[in-house]
Amino acid sequence: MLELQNISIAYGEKEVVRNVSLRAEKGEIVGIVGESGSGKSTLIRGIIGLLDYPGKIIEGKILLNGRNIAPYPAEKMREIRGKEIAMIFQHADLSLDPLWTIGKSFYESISMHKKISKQEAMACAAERLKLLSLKNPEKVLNLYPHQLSGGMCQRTAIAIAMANDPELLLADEPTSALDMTVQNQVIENMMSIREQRGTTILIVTHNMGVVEKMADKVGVMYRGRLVEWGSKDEVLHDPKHAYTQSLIRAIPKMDGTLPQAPERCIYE
Amino acid sequence: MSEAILEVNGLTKVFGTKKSQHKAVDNISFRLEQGECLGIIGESGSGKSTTAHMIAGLLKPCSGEIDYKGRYLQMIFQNPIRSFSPRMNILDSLCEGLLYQSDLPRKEIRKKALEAMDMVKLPRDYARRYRSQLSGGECQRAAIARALMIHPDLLICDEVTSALDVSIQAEIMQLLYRLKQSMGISLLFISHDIALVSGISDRVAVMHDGKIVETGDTMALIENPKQDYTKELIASVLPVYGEKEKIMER
Repeated sequence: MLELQNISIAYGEKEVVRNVSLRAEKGEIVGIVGESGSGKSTLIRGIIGLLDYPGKIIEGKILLNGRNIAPYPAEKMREIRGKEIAMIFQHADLSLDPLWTIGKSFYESISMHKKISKQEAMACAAERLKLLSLKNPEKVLNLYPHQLSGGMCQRTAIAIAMANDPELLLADEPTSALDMTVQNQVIENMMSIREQRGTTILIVTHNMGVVEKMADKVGVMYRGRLVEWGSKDEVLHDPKHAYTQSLIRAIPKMDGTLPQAPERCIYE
Repeated sequence: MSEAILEVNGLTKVFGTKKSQHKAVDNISFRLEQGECLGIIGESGSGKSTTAHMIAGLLKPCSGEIDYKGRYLQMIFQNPIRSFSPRMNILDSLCEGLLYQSDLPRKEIRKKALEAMDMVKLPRDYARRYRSQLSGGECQRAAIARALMIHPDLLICDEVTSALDVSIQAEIMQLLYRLKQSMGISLLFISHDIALVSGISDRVAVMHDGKIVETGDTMALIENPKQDYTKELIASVLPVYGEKEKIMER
């Protein structure tokens, strides 16, 4: 469904993503893990065409159902964005317009891609909110982002992203700003979306626990490169690369031991 | 039982007006022994930071007692970059406290600052840098060095690794553990991550809606939680491979 072939992304002279290739089939959940600055966010921003200036895809192909969307100009990406690929962000409250009700955000998102009356859009929005098992969807539509809790906000953002039934959902650290218990709820939501709509999900996170819970395939990024790629069992259970091994050792465990700090060296 | 460095009795903080009141911290009591690490866990809004702020004297309690028997205490915050002045370099930030707290000559204080940087393994040439020139992890090291300048007996760590990556988080945890072991500093370690707290704390207090719902020795509490809320917190930890089976057995 989605295939990246030798993607390299640079900000001016600085190459941030180097030669990354990966594949996601329909209905698969792919987790990308790595530290800050490893290029994981840049990679998914590149896929949806939301790179900050002067970021640019300098090499490679992004195949979405066989179409290479990497060279698409901004206007053409707008047609795809929201309809075929949608994205959710770390700070859901900041990604929604503070002056708009949730309903208006929904309407904008839907009316970008098809002619629809406000009433129809609201019905569609309420249905999406129900998909995420939010209570009182009609009431939520009349609220502003600041009236929602962090977890509610993120779930609403997911519902808006799903408004046009995209085939691919990109998630950039969707649970990092949330409490542990709320985090689980958001993960359950994303997994049920995959279940019901067959959406392919690409999730970027530094939380290995999240990846362990939801991903089918895992990629590990380090200094712009994809250093490890495979099924979840292969990567988390039997990591080949020294960096992945050290990353797994650094995860806090609940057995009363301290997490182990990786040695400061550059892995080849 | 060794000597307590901190005793908190019936501490309460109420926010809001007469009409709408919110009890952020509701009549909590605990004690912290010399050289011990007490972990405080709970979700956002459970009152853990408010408790920390009251102990550090940054907030006035509405009622209750805080009996601190040590000389100095220091607090380290969640966002290391924002806890430094943007217009002061790291060396000046480190020295600032002692300039007011002691009569030591400036030269002596600078020497101490560089020693503190050695202690947290921050290269000495970082002294002239500003906060924007440091990464999150480096900045948190600098914040710990600054806290060490006056030789505190107690360090209050309020979500000190929440803004950091897992690998950097591991480094900071190792550093705090080293300080606790080698200098005998007592720690009040606040976090929402029970797995993280378990690594460093001798005892853990679970906070929920402003109350301490459960206290106990770390491993005993994790293996045999009494309260439903504690069980929920433990269940919400997403274990990574290998551990899952272990936890499932319980």
